[in-house]
Amino acid sequence: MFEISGVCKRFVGVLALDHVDFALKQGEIHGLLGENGAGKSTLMKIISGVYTYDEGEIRMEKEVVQFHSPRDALKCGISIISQELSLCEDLSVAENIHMGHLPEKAGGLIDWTKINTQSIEAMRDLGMDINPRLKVKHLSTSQKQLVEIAKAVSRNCKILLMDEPTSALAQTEVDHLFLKMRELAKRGISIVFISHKLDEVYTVCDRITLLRDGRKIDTYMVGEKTQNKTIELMIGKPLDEYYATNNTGKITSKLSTEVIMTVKNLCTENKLKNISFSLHKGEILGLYGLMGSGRTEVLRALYGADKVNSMELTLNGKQLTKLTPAKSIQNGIVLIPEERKLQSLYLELSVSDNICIPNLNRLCAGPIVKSDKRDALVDDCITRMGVKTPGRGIKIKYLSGGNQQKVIIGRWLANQPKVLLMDEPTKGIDVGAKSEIYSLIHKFSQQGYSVLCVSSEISEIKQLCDRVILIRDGKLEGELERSEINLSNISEALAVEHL
Amino acid sequence: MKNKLIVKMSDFSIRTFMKKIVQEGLIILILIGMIIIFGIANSNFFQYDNLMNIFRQMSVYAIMAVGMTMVLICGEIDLTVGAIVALAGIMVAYAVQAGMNMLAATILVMLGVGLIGLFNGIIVATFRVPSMLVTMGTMMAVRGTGYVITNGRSVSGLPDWFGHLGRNYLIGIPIPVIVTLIVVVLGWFVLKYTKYGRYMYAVGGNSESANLCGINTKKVIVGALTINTMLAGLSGVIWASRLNSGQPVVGQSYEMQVIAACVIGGASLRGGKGNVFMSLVGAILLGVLYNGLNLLRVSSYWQQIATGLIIILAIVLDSLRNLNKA
Repeated sequence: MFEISGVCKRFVGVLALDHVDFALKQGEIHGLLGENGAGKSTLMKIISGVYTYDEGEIRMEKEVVQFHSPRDALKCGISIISQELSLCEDLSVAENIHMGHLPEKAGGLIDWTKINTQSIEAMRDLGMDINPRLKVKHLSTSQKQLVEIAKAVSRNCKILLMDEPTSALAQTEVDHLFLKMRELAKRGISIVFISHKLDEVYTVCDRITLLRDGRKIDTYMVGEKTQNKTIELMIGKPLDEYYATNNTGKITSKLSTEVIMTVKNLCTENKLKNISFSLHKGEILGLYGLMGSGRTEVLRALYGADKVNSMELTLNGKQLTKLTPAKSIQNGIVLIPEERKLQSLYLELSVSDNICIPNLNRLCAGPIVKSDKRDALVDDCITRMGVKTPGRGIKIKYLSGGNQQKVIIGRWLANQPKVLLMDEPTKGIDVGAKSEIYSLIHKFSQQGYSVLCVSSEISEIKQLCDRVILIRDGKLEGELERSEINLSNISEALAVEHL
Repeated sequence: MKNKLIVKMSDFSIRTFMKKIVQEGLIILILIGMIIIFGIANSNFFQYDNLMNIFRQMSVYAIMAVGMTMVLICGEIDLTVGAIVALAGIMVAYAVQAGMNMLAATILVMLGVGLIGLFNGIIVATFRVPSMLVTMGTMMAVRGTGYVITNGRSVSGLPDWFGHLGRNYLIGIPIPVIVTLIVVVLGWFVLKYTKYGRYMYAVGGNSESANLCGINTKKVIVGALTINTMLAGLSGVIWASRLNSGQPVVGQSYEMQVIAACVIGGASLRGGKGNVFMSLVGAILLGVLYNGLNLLRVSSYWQQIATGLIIILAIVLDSLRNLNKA
């Protein structure tokens, strides 16, 4: 019913999609799997008209279609729920659900009663009960995600694309969503479901298409291959080989009992409530929670990037107060933010500049930057992190995501930090670079650096962390040792109490 | 396996180098083209006096362009500079009347108008308001101040040596041109080799990232806006010296010319990009254009229309350059 053939998409320096074929049947729920950077979101953005494509063709009901903008895709009945929520915070729930298709009375006036009643129905369908006049900014992240879903569903679409729709949802909400999806499928709507949670894909999907490094690897019915076999196809290696190369002997944790940092009663205005935990020397501590649970806020608070209502932070026995990023850096705490394009990279500047800018103080004699010291630092960083770049002077926007991330991590190491705060360190990075970054993180901890690492992938947490603390709605809900890390323990700890 | 996805690295350096040459070289080619066309249209164009006139004329813009380049690199904009040129001219005239020598008067004026830049910077940084709107307000206030101080009249009756700076030559080159070259080289040095210069690129390129890197973004912005007004003050002194009087009416829409020169030279209104040498080329290009039009006896009213269109062209050019951001 809907077919893509031979689609290619190039971004500067990267071939994101390499002659990908994809076919969708009417009324099916089709899972799209692949590691970070495999091309899933890119493919979805092409189907929904957000991106143009360089080669290939798209057919709807056997007819070739061309999308020049999201509007064209919408007209063809394709609706997308994006990974990043795209709601207007200052508008009401009802207006957001009806974005782009506000019901009108005769004469072109907006029919407010209809909007509100329709919204209530749409939300009830998803198990929600919210006042439709409420402004979206007052909702929790999981509620926002459900509004986003209601928005897509209310469009009477033929094809529904869902990109990580459950990243903020608790189990009961996910179950409700799956019921609704099956209902829509029965009505003849086709659904493409992207999730990196393999269990979910295996629960709700009929067929699976697997992408790896921009290429389609396979399409098959869900029953045909086991989850382990699917993982192997996703990473491109047999499972034991993967674990072997990524297991750098961290099993027997010579875990130091020496506490390097303690946090007590961290409270922020909007989110965090009395967060307290400790970090040991050489430990890799994971921080796991759903989207919107406050993970990034914890890191930013520790770094001094956000205002806090209260926090007692001790590093090596010394209390730290009135934190700012500059002070944190001086004290040996560094932050690697989640969104490198928005928060870390200077895209128009060279690799050399990106490495040097936070280190200029140590490279200067007075106000002047010494070029020999600068070049030495840059070369050292590039070799130490294994950054693949044709030169120091090339603009960093031309490097791949994995290499960009290595530059960002590497630039902080020159400071000999004591604590590395990492927010989703492998976000948007291809498989090969991912395992390189894991080895680097393991190496750091062996060298005595301590790491606090936010991640939303359980497999990543299991690979990296000695311990993990779990956060939900701004509160810490529990702690697990490495051996206890698995989906059921985590779900239990984060279970929603009300039903 | 993954290397197949990344276009060969060696292709990159060549490609990006070519891109750079095309973008920057294009402006230089246009400049050469203009020179040839005007030269053909009017043979007086190439006379030594005329060429020196062009350079002298545009030196005022060029000095301001150095400061404006820094402000643009920081991701901000400064509309006060035209009004500062007027106020600085008035201030230096009064200072000289009061008995100061040229050098002392110039330094005093530069420091004085620097306070205005400091004011701009503090408002923008503290209240996080768009610099375009703040400096628009300051511009009007400064312009008004000039009129108030002088009662709308020019400040004249100045000693002969007052015109030395703006009108005379040193080793055959107009003094303002020498000053311009010194300022351009200093500006280039600060941007390329000092910590503060590199921080300007960081703050303008990605202010969130700069903040997380521990850079005091407020200080950087305040600094850039202060330096900019000081350089505008220097230009104002030179201009008054040329006219041999301080006048409250001069400098009208100089800020637009200066911004256009910087953008033609490759600075981006979005911040994070800019190069003082190319801004100088942009200023020369504008100088050649106006001089050429003058020689062709195009009226100044038509020149104003031309200016407006060039500014729009420069802004669109800037946007097109940024369209293919990765």
